[in-house]
Amino acid sequence: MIETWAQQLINGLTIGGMYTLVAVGFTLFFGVLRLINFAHGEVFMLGGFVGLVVAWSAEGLGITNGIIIVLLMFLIAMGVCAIIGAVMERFAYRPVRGMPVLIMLVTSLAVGIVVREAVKEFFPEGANPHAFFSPFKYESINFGSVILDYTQLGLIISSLLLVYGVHLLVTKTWVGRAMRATSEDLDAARMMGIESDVVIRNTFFLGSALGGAAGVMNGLYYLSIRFDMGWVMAIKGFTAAVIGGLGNVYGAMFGGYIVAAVEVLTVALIPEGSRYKDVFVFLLLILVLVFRPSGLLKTPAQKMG
Amino acid sequence: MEPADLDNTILKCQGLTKNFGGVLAINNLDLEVQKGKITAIIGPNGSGKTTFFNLVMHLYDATSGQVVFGTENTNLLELPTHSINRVGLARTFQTLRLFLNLTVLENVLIGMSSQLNSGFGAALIKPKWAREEDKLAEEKALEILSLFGSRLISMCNEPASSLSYANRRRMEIARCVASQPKLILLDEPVAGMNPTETREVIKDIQKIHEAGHTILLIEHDMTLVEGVAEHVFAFDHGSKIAEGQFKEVSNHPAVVEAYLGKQALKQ
Repeated sequence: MIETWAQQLINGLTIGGMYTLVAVGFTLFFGVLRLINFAHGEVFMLGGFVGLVVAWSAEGLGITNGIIIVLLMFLIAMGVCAIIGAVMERFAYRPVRGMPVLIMLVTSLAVGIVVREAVKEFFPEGANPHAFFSPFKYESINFGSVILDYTQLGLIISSLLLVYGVHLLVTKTWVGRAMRATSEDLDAARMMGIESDVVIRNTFFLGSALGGAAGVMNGLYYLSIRFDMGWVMAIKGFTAAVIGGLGNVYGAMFGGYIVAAVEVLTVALIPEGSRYKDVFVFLLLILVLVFRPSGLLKTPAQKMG
Repeated sequence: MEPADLDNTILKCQGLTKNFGGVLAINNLDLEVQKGKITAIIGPNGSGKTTFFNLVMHLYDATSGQVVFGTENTNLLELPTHSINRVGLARTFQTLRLFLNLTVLENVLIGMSSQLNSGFGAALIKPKWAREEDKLAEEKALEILSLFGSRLISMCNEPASSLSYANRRRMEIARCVASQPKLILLDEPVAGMNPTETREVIKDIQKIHEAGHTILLIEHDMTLVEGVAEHVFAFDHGSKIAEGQFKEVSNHPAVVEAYLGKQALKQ
C-alpha cells in the first residue's frame, strides 16, 4: 500500500513540475497585462516539437551523449519559445493592449489556433502523433516495487531548479522587481521610470521559455507529442494559476502541484481513474472559480485588476 | 507679483487644455514654476489640480497646449510617461499608490529604475559590475530612507503594506526622491493626517527642499501651504484664478468665492 502511494507521489511530483512551469507563465502574463493567454498552451506544444527537431538534428550531427542532447533540447526549445512568445506579444497583444479583457482573451485564442494549425499543416506529418526521443527510457532505480526512472528523476530536479530560478529572478533582480511593480500598478510603475514595454517583453520571454521547457519535459515523460496537446495543458496550467491566485507566482507553483495531486489521486483511488483525471481537474477549476475566484492563497493587498 | 525669471523657470505651461468628452477639466492654463522653490496649487475639489499632474506626467493626452520642462525646454506632451521620469519629474499620489507587495527598500529601488543600466541578460547572470551596481543602488536607497529618521529604515525589509498610513505617505515621497528628480510633484502629501503628523511632514518637505529639490505640491491643508509655499497658484474650474504669495492668494476675492461661494464674499 505504502508503495502505491510512494509511486503516486513520484508521478505527482513529475507532472506537477510541468503544470507549475506552465502556470507560472499564465500568472506572469496576467500580472503584467491582465491577459489570460490561452495561446500559452500552444507555446508549450511548440516546445515539445522544437525539442523533437533538436533530437533529430543531434542524431544527424552524430551527437550520441544523451545528457548533451537533452540539455540542447531544453536550451533551444526555451530560446525559441521565448522569442515566439515575445513575437506574439509584439504583434498580437500589443495592438489590443488596454482594450477590454474579452478582446485580449479572444485574441489569445486566435493566436493559439494559428500556431496549432501551422504545426499541423507545416510540420512533417504534423497531424499525427510523433514518438519523442528519450535517452533514458529503459533505465530506472527500483525501491522494491516503486519505480523511479531516470527520466522522472531528471524531470523532478529540473522543474525544481527552474522554479527556484524563477524565484531568484523575481525576488533578487531588477527585472523581477520591475515585473512585480508593473503587475501591482502599471501606471505608477511607468511614472517611476519603468518602461512597461520592456517589462512586458521580458515577462513574455520568461513565461514562454518556461512553457517551452515544460513542453520538452512532457515529451520526455510521455514519449509522444501531438499538435493538439496544447489546449488541455493550457486549461490545466490556467487551473493551477487560478488556484494560486492569478498574478501570484508562488501561488502558481503551489497550484501546479495541487492539480497534479488531484490527477494522481483520481488515478489511485477511482477504478479506471486515469480516464477521469481531466474531469476532476476541470471540476476543481469550476469549484475554485465559483467559491474562491482569487485563489486559495491570499496575499496581503492582492490587486486583482 | 514677482517678475517671472525666464532662466529660472523649470516648468512652463501655455494654453494647456484637457477636454474629457465636453468637460473642460483644464481650461487654457498658463503657469510657470520657478526652480528651487516650493510652489503650491490650491483649489476646491474638482478644480483640475490632479488632472494637471496627470497631464504633466503624460498619463493623459492633452487636448491642446504646451508643457515644457527644464533648461532644454523638453516638450513633455511628446514624451512617454517613463521618459518623463527620466528627464527629471517624479510624483506622489493623492490616493497612495505604493507597491504594497514589495518591501520598503524595493519601493525605493523601483524609484531608482531609470538609473540602473544592466539589461535582461545581465540581470540573469549577474556579472560583477551588475552586482556592484545593485549594491550601490541599495546603499543609496538606504540613504534616502534615512532622510525620514528611523521610521522607514527600520522597516526596510518589510512589505510596504505593513507601514502605517503616515509612513506610507513618507514612503511615496522617498520613492520620488530616489529617482533624483529636478522637480517633485506632491499630490496632497498630508491628506488624512492629524496636525502633529502634518507638522512633521512639513519638516520633511523642507528637508527635501533644502537638499536642493524643486517642489510643486497640491494641498488643501492651508497650514501646510502657508508653512512651506513660496509661491501659490489657485485653480478653479480648470483655470488659474490667482497666483502670488500665500497671503495675497488666500485673500483674493476669486479664491474666497471659489472655496466658500458668493454668499461668503458679501458678508
